[in-house]
Amino acid sequence: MRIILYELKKIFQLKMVCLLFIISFIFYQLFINFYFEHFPNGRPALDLYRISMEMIEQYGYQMNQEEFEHFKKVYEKEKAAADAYLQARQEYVEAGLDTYEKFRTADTEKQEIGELVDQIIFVDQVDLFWELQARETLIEYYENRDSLFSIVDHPLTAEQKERIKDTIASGNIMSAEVFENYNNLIRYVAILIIISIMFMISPIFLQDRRNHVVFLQYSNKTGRKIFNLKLQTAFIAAGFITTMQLGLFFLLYRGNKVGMFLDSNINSVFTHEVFWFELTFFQYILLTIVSIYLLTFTLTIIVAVLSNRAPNYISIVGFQVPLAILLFAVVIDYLVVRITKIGLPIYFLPSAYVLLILIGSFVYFWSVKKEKKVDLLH
Amino acid sequence: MLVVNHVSKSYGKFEALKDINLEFSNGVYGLLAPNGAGKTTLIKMLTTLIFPSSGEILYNGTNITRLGEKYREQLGYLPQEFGYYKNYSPKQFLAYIGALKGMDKKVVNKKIDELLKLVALEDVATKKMKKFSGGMIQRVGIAQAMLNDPKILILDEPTAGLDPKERVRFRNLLSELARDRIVILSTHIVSDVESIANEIIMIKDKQVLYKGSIDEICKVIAGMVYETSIPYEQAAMFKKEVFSLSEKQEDGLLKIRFISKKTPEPTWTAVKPNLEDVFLYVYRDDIQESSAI
Repeated sequence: MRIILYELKKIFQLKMVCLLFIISFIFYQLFINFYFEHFPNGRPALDLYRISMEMIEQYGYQMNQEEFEHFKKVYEKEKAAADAYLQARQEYVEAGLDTYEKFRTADTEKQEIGELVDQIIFVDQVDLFWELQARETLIEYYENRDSLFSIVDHPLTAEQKERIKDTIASGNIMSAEVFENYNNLIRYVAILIIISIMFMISPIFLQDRRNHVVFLQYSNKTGRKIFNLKLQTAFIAAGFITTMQLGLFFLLYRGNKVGMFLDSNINSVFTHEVFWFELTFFQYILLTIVSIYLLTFTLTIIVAVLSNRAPNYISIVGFQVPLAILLFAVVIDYLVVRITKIGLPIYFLPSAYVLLILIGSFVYFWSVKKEKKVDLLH
Repeated sequence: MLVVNHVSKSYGKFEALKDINLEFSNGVYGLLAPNGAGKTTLIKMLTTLIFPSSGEILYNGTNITRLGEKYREQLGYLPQEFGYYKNYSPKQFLAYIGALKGMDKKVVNKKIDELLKLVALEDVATKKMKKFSGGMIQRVGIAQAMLNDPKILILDEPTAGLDPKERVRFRNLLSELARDRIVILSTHIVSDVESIANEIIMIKDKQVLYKGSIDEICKVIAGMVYETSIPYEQAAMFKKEVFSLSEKQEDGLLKIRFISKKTPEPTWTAVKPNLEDVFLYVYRDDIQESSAI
């Protein structure tokens, strides 16, 4: 344990930690902050988010046909209120926009009409008119829920059809804005964690080989066990970095006020998403967290072994750039974001993670075994 | 006792050491050979950093690879390229080495203070090593090798970077230590081992050429070493006929120490050979090659 503590101190040396803070800060500013500052992103996203909350308050996490009829009645009432709003304004009556229906279908190409519509929507930003648009979208989603059958490109299997039918029948209420926002955020957080681990773990073996401390390490009582101890240190460090990054992220994510949706089922006609499993948003978040940990631990082994074998830092970067591109462009989308979606076979995710764990374990045991016999020349 | 038994080491087709047989008991052993002769390869095998391609190394009758940490805990090693962390102080670094040696924390702390005093680094014990001179770093290296009070102390080019005063002190320290342990001192500097080594091991052409006391080894060229003074203009011709060991100017003449197998001339004075003479004679080809380079 004493050696692991020493090795941890070497990984978390002040200079490296400061650099990691700077990298994280810049990354947040460039990619992540946007999804905190602009959530929900404009209108009618804000209205869709608000109305989704209102729906959950009124109907619970599912909406049946009767409740949908009520939802439509509320829409009609608001429409009447919009009619009254328009009729109370002379300029709109004179322009022939005395009902919401006419306002909605007005030819905005005509300058005078366009200006009147813009006045309500963009200048005064009258909530009622934005809300009406949002309600129309949600009603449309519900009424056209059979369009879920087209979310998969290829012909549907019987199991996929079954899942879509279940989702349509469920009437689950979930905000597409909240789900999309989380997926965007967790994608970038996963990327930041991968960068952090690559940055912090890469020197673990290379540093000692470059300054020849490895000769002292291997010739002392601890001997080649140090290799295994360093790998364990890398796991602890990677776990700590991942936890810190996720901790910071969820601390900031609290500001997005999505608590009400945590118990929502993510299979919903309103998000236009269908998954193999009946997961609540909270369970989905947990699943993404577990996925990130599994991914980072496998990555940690690969980065550590690269650090042991690469002759210099440039080679490490050379190896890691294609690895990072593969992770950012492909792996995260399949193994972290929208995991268990029905577009992929039901066994894809468990198989992919079993494969990942097997690869990680193989690299781990192979490298430990190899290190026991390797000649330490340089 | 440490025994090297028919040990060879090759890397693919390249043979670095061939059928090495050696025995070490308590005392100082000077491993003497020019750079690149295979000293470090032998030392790396003795410190388990590399493994023999054939043969075995036994410590008290058991293969050192099988002994594993039981062997390594008896070992103190100063590598030729001594590695350290620039931002660590000697105290921090030695504490880390103590952990690697599996020593108790309290024992390590006490030992660190003793050793830093011994190598005259107590005043800079908590200063970062990045500002240390080569000699100071080497003294930290010596301290870390002795931290666990090893039964086998292996030092690869230990005096590199030490000033003459430090060298003398270091030699005295080794003589003291060697009373109850094996000290193997690898060097290409003859004076490092001449005064303290009980035995000298010379490696040439990947094999042990000589192993014995300095007197025994010097017998190799006994009766062949002479000194004479000649005018400068005769020097070039003279050196073609003999093997020159050293030259210096004296009273307007060139005083030359040399080896010759011919019948001595009246102007030649026979002198007692020393280890450096043997070294220069044995490795004359290697030395000429490296001078040509």
